[in-house]
Amino acid sequence: MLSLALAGVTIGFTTLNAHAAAAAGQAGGVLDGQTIRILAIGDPVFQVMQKIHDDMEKMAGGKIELDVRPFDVLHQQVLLNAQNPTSSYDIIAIDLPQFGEYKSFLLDLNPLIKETGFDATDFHQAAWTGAQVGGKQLGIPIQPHPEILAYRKDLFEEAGLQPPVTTDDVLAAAKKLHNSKPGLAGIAWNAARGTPLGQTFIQVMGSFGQAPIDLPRTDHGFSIDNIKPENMKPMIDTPAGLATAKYLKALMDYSPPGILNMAWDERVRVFAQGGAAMTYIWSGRSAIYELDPQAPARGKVGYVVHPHGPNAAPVSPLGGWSLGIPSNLDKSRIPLAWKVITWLTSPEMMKEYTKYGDCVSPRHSVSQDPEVVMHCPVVPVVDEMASKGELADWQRPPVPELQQIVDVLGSVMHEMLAGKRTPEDAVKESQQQIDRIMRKAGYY
Amino acid sequence: MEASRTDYFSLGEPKPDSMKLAVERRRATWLLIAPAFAVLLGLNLFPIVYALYISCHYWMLARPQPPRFAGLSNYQELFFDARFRNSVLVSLKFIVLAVGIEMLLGFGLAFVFNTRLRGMATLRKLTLLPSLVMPLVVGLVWFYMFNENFGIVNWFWVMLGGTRVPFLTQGALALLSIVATDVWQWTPFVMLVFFAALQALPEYVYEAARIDGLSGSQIFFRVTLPLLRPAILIVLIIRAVDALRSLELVFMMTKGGPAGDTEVLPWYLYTTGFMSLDLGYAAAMAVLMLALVTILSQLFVRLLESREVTP
Amino acid sequence: MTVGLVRNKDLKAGVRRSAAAWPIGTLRYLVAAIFTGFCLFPLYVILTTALKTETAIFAWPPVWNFRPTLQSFYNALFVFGGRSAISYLINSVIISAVSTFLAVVLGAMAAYGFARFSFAGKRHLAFWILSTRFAPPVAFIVPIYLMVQKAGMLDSHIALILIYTAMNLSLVIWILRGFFSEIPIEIEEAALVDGYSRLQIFWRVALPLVRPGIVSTAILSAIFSWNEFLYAMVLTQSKAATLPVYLAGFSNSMGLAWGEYMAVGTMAVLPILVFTFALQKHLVRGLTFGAVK
Repeated sequence: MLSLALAGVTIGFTTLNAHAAAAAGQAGGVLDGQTIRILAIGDPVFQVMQKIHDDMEKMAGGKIELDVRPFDVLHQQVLLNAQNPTSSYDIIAIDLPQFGEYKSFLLDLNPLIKETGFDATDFHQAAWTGAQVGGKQLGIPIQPHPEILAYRKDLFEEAGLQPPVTTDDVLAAAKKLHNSKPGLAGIAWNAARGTPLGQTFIQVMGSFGQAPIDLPRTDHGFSIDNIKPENMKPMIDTPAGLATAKYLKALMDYSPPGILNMAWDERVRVFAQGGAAMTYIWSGRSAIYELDPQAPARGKVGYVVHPHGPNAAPVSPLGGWSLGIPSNLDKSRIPLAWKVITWLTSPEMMKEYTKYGDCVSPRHSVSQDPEVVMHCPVVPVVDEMASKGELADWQRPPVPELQQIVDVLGSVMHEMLAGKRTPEDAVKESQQQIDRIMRKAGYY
Repeated sequence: MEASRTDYFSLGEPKPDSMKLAVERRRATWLLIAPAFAVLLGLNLFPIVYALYISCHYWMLARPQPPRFAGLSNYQELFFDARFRNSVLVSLKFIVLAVGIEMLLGFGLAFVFNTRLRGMATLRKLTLLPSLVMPLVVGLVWFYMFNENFGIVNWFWVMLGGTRVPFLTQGALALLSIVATDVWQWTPFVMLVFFAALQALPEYVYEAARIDGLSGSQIFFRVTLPLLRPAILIVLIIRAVDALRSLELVFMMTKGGPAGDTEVLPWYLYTTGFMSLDLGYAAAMAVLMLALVTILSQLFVRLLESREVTP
Repeated sequence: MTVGLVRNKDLKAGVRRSAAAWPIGTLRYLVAAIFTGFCLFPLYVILTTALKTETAIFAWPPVWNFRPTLQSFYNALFVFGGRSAISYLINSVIISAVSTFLAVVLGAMAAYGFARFSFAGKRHLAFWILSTRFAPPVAFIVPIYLMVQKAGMLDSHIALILIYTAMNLSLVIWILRGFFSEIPIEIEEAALVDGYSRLQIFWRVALPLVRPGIVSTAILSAIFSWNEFLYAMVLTQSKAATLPVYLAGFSNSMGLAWGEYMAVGTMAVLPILVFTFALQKHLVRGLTFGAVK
């Protein structure tokens, strides 16, 4: 047994080294023979990186260790990694609302930005400031995008429907189109238990005009600049919260089979294959059908901002991913990590990503590139929403307890959708559980 | 050397000897046992005490606020926690179903294999394999087989005339699927234990019974079963505790869903402690779980102590 | 008391010996074959899925005849978008091997101590050690995580090695204690008379005589260490991450790289199967802590 193991180990090591040598053979490049360790999410931009991994290694002249994890595992691993004496990763992916939770163990990138003269003006304003906390720049946006509503222009035209503007429009259109053709559901969305449904709830509640906690109001929404302990009170048990719960429950009647397990990838896949007439979608994932010549939805999709409830303004939640450096990273590796981040978020690489399935561009220069617009029709639409001020980030305020809020809603609301609770009951129960969490954390 | 069977621990006890040898004996005993004892003290006893300590605090990982003393409030909260009650209930359902089926199947199959027919020994050896496979891989392959779009189980079901069933995402079915997977993995182990116990049953008791004219079923109920009782209890406790503490299957196949139908106690503990990072609350659950396991393991130890299983 | 395993006797316990044994025999074979097939089928699925192409994996109805390919193994080991399974495999080997070695060494010493010597509180100590077999990792992981973190040993090999040693000690001690106590005491007394010290007797006389016990407890400990997932998942990330951690990174909602995962699954399972098939004899004793021989 021992000799077998030794043989295996030797073979393993030699092939590993051979592979590394081959990659490092092209010296120079960003990595110059070194290895970079990235911890990321299974979102479009990183899936693209996996696809073109070998080419990227050749371009960079080194090894890229890209660990792609599902959302919850990534969250756990980032937090556990922060407890290590030295970080096991050079670069980590951070979701826009997570900056509040991670702020105490991310490196402030401002010194590096100043030192290397990194030009931030090309980035969308909202995406850039979204990665800041307390004046510190904690991440560089690589895939920031809003959640919007996609709808089949052809099916709507056929049925004589206008693009949906309010939530009532959505329900009406869904009702009319549901089962109007075999295998066609009204609308697909994230209803899977846990993070998918939890996020859906607070994002939709934003479109009913309410933030999940008691944030100070501004003229166009809410402010997340200076969140005080008294702002941490949950606002689920409110008219807007109840309306949201009822809306989601109503959507169930026009949803595709398997809706209770549907999350980010599946809802888009179902829509792409013509299984639904509408879907909520993070704009970057539109690449799933826009770049697939065989997808029934390709080229027939229109996009609108999140439909709003009565007495609320149209607003889509901004989200998406940025790259940051853990503060417990070995000091000697920081320059390398920064170089790689700069490279990964460069205009050239961003354009590459759009070719292979990531329809997001936080850089104006890339958004206006006609080639990009050709593959990804959603990009100029998002650009317009950004300039109209229809993108906001208060729906998911960057507080450390955000994930717990999402977890509670993700499980209580799931019970409601499965028929085990009424909307009124679900709203009250969520409120109570989140309230307990806030008290435990000592806010009030 | 034949020793009496009443005290399991005095086997092979050498005769008392001189003072010098006694001192050397003491030293040797200490040197031999201390290292193992130290490891277990540090990694088994101390963590229990530490868990008690943690459970009396509000202790969140990766938060700026430091841990805060909270007395028994975590336990109080647990008492009112519906999700905790559900997880205990689901665990109970899982243990009763899975272990119950494994015991019955394993018991019956042991009799089937209890024969000198050619090839049966090889078949029997092959059946042990599931019990040795990494539980995570067991979860992986059964997750694949239960899949509603391309899973083999669905294929069999459709062949038998049913329609495609979402085994892992529909209410009660999800738990049953997990039970089925556990049964697949551990029935061979149970069977092997019963088989060995059967093999060790003394011939002369059966001869005597036959001479006395007892019928087949009388022999079974009045001779075989009582003789097998220790083995039954031992394997029951081992399986019950192992089923109580396992979470690989739920981790790979359902992650507690749908809607908590497969959220067993270990899963709730794990998500509380290492997803929500609420260590204080998780520690309280851990302490309760440890209390339960201690009771069961004490039972086991008494059993082992009371009599030799194979006389 | 008889030493070692009782041999396969010609005994039909509980079943009256009847003249018409033939139909019962066929029934036995049938049931046994079905059960064995049921046991082996999923293992067959693991291997074949690892050898299938992607289209074959997702095919409906499932494909039974297919052209095998080693692409999945290659991907998993060397490619797979940036993080290959090789380092996980190596970590698994190292950690299992070292923890097994420690468990057997420390356990054999303690087992001998329990077998041959008496001291105050021996029974209680022994029972306590036995009960550690039932320790639920999911409960222990909470304090142990904090302990490891404060000691600065997160994502290190040594932390897992020590934990697995502790996990396996109970088994080793209990099995070997039984083996040691079966050695006739006269052999050791003779050595005592010849002037050997106690420890020398342990090392040179007793230990060699329990070699079968050592082999079986070593293999069982190695299996348990190799298969363990929870401690590894929480306490390691990349440097010391073992195979189960790689497999646990899989999720049911994205990037379903079934072929690669089945390939790694095959690698995780194959060594165990090979060794234990050869090891049948002492397994029952090992798995039930000597309660059933």
